[in-house]
Amino acid sequence: MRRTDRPDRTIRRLDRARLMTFVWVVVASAFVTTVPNLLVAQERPRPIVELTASARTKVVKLFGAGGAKGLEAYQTGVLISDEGHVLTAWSHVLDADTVATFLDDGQRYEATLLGYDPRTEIAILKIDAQGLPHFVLDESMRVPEPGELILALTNLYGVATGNEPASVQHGTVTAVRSLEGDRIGGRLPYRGPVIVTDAITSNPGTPGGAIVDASGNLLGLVGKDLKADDADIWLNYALPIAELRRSIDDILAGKLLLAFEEDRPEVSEPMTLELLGMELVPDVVGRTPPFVDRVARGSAAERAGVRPDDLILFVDDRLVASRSQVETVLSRIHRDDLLVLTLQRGTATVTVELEIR
Amino acid sequence: MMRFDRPGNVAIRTICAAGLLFALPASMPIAAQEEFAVLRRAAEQVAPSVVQIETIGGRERVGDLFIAAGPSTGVVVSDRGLIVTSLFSIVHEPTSILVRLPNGNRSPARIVSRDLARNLVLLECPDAAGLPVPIAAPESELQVGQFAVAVGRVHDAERINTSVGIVSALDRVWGKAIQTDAKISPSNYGGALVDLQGRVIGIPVPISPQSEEQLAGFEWYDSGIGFVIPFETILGHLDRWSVKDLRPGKLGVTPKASDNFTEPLEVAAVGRLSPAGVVGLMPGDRIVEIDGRPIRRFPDLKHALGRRYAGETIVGVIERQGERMSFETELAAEIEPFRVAALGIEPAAVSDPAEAGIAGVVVERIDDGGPVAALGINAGDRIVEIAGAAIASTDELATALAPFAPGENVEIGWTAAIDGPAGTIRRGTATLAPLAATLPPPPIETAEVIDPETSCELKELRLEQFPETCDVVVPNRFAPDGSFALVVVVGAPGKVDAEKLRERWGVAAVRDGLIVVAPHSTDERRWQRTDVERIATQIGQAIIDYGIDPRRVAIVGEGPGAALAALIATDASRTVRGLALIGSGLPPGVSLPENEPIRRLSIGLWLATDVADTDPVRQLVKANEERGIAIAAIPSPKPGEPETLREIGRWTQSLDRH
Repeated sequence: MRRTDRPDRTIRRLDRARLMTFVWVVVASAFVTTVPNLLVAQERPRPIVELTASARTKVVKLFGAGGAKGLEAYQTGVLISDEGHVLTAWSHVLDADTVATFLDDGQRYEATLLGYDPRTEIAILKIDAQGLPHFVLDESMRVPEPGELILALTNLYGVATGNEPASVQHGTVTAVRSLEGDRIGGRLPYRGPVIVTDAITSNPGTPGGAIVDASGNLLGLVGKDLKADDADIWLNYALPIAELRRSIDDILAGKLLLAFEEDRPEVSEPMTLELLGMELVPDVVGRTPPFVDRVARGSAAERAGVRPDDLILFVDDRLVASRSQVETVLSRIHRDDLLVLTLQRGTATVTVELEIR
Repeated sequence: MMRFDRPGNVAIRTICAAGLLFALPASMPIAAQEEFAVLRRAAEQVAPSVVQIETIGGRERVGDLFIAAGPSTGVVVSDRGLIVTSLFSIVHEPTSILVRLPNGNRSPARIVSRDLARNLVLLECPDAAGLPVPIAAPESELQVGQFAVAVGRVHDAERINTSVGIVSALDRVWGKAIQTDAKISPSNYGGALVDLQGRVIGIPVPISPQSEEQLAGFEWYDSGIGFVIPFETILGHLDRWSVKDLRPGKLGVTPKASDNFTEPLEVAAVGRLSPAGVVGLMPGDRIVEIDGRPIRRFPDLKHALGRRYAGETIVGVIERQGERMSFETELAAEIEPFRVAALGIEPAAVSDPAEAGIAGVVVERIDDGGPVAALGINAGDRIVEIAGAAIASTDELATALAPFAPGENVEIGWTAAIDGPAGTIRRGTATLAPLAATLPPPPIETAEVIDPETSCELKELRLEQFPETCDVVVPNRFAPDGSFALVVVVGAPGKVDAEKLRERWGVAAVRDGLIVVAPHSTDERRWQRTDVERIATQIGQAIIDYGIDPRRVAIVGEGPGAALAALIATDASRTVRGLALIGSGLPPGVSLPENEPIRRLSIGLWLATDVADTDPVRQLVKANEERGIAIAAIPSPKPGEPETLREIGRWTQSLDRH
C-alpha cells in the first residue's frame, strides 16, 4: 500500500464529509429503498492504511475496576469530542472511581464517568484533555449497508500492552437487523437495528470499540458480548451511532446523571419492591438490568399497569441501571409517597404512577 | 490433519479460510477486485519458498492439547537448505521430520536450533538446497492497515492455502511480533505472511504477550487475532541462530509492582549473579531508560527487553536517591532462582495492609526453633524494622528481606505487645532460614461437632461477562475482616454438586476460616484452556467480594482437575499463591513460574503415604527446591479425606509466612 503525504488532509476530509452529507440527503429523500449501495462505494475509497492511521488516534484503551488487583477488566472507547469525551459500552469495567484511559500514543488519563443510558447500555467518560483527535458524530448519522467495507478498532484480548495502540481488523457488514424476538438479543434493552460484521469482534476487550466506514467515519460502537448459549455462537455486532445519537446527546446534556443515593438519608419506613408488588429479574452480578419479572395480583404495580419484561429506567427522577440500584433508590423513599416509574416497554417509553394503599 | 480438543474446528477453519477469498468483492469497487488479484499473485510469488513439513512419531498430547501429527508449513531462509518453521510444528517431539520438495519427493530434515524467545525452529534439509529465499518486507515500511496474505501448505502439498487480512498492529508481544487479522492457525503456522508485493512480512506462530509457554496464543486461532515474527529479524539473526539456540535475554530484576500501571518502575529485588546484580543494581533503584528508550512502567521494560536475546548487551539508566547512573550488562538466558530467606513467622491476617493504618507486621505465629524464636519475639508483637529500614506491611517485609539469602544475618526491630502501642523498639539479629514448606502445627480445638449444613451457607459467584458460575461455601461465622483464606477447588469437569462440596469442605471452612469456591466448567466433559483466564478472573472477584488477604489464596486440584489447577496457578500466578494437588504430582507439561520475592507460588502435594515416600517424588521436590520454590510432598493415609482438607486449609492460611 502506498502512503501519500497530504498536509491538507483535514480540509479534504471535511469537504468529503460535506459531500457525503449531501449525497446522503439526496439518497435519503429520493431513493430511500432502491438505491444500490454501490453509489456510496463509487467514491474513491481512502486506502485502509490512511483510514487506520487517522482512526487509531481516536480510539482509546480502557482499564477499569479490578485492573490493579489482577482482575483483567479492560475494554475500548472512542473519542467523540475535542474536550475528552469518551463513548464506550456500559459494563463492569466502569465500576471504578476512575478508569485508566490510554490514548494511542500511550498517554494515560484517568477518566470519570459522566453518565450512562440503560436503554442503550452506553456510557460516556470524560478525561481532562483538550484538542484531541476525535470522531465527529455528525458524520456518523447513517446506518451502513450490507456488503460495505468496515474496519474495527478494539482493545481485543488485552494484547495491546503498555503504550501499544488498539488493534485494527477489517471486514464487511454482513447484515443490519433488529435482534428483537431473537433469543440472542433477549438480554439487550436496546431494540433498534444492529450492524452484524464478519470481522471477529466479539472478544474480550472489544466492547466500546469503533466500527469505521471507508470514509473513516464512526458508524458503530461494538456492543457487549452476546452469545446464543444453546448454539454456542457469539454474535459479532455493533450498535449504529445514528441509533445511539439521542442517548449520547442526553448523557452529554446531563439528563442521565447517575444517582448517588449514598448521599441521601435512608427513611424509616422505606418503599420496597415487595410492597409495590413487583419482582425483578434476580440480581446475581450487581448489574443485571432491572427487568420486571413478575407482578403480584392486586398490587400497586398491577394497578399502575406495570408488566413483566418492562425495563425500569427511572424511579422518580433517579436513573437506575440495575436491580440493586432500584432497591437503593427505594430505600430513600417513604412508603406513603407517590412513586413515578419510567419504563421501557419494547421500543416505547411508558410512565406510570404507583401508590400503596 | 491436526486434531483439537474442540471437535469440528478443522472444518470450520477451512470453510472460513476458503470463504474469505470470496466474501469481500461483491459490493466492492473494481479497484478492490484488482487488489484481490494482486493478493493472489503476491501469495503465488512466495509459493516456491513455502514447503510442507510432515512429522512421524512423537507424543499425542502436549499439556492439555491433543495433537495428532499432521502436516505443517515451513519457509526457506537460506540456499543451503535451511528452513524456518514454528515450534508448533515439532512441539510433539517427532522422531523424524520430512520436507516435501517441489518435485514431490519427501526428504529428511533435522532440527538445527530453536528460538525460544520467538517460538521458531530452524530445520536443515540438504535436498532443499537451492530453493529460493523469499524477499523480506522491510519492517520500517510496514503500516497498520496494509493488506497481507497468510500462506500455508497444509491442506494440499501441491497448492498453497491462503487467508487474507490486514496488518492489525506493529510491535506486539513486547516488540517481537506483528499482529494480523488474517486467520492464523495450524493451517499456516510456520508459513508466511506476505505483503502485496509478495515479500514476506513474517512467520506465523502461536505466541502471547501474557505467557511464555510454547503453545500460548494457540487458543486465539480463528479469533480475529494472530501474530507473525518479522522475517527481516529472522534473516538478521540467521548467522547466530544456525549455530546455537536463541533464548530470551533476562536482566534479573523483580519490579516492586508487576502490574501495567504503577510508575515509576522501582526494583524490588535483584538476582545476585544476574546481569543486573553483577553490575550493582540494587533494590530501590528506579529504572528510567534501557537502550535509549524511556522506561516508566513495567511494560516499558518488557518492551525494551522483549526483542533482545541472551548474550546481547544492553545499556540502561537508573535513578538512585535522585542521582542518575548508567550501566551496561550482558543479558542472560537463565537467572539463578530467587531463594526466600525467611524469619520463620506467620503474619496476622489483614485484608488490605495498606489500609490497616498501623505500620509494621503483627506476628501471629512463630516457628519453633525458627530464626526469630531465640530473640524472644512473641505472637502479637509487631515487626517494624528490617536492616534498619522501617516496614509498613507484609509486602514491604518481603521486599526488605529480598536482598538476603538464607543463612545470612539481619537486624530486626520490633515492638512487643506487652509494652503497649508506644513501646520502644527492641532490636536483635536473626539468622535467616530457607522458607519451610511444612504444615503449621494443628491448632487446639474444642470438641464441638460441626454440621456443615447448618454452619455454612451455599452461595453463587457470578460475573456478568461469563455464563459459567462458581459455587461458594461460606461459613456462617464469616466476617470480611481479612482473616478468611480462599480455597478454589477444581475437580472433575461438569456440574458441581454444591451440597456435596459443602459436606466435604464445611468443617475445614468453619475451623480454618476458609471461603471455598468451586468453578464450573464451560464444557461438561472437559476442562479447556479458555477456562484458565475465566477462573482467574472469578478468583479475583472472590478476593474482592470476601475481603480475602490476596496472599492467602490457594487452588486445589483433584483427579481430572489437577492439570487445570496447575495451569491456573502458573498462568495466573498474580492471583494464586498456593497450588495444592490431592493424589497427584505435578502434571506433565507444567512449567512453574520463576520465584519472585513478593509473588511466590508454594506447592503442596498431598499423596498417599506409599507414593509420597518414593524416589520420583523426592526428586521432584528436590529439583524444585533447588529452584527456590517452596514445595512439599505431604503423606496422607487417605488423600482427599477430611484430614487432608483440614491440612490444606491450614496450609492456605499460612501461605504468607515469612
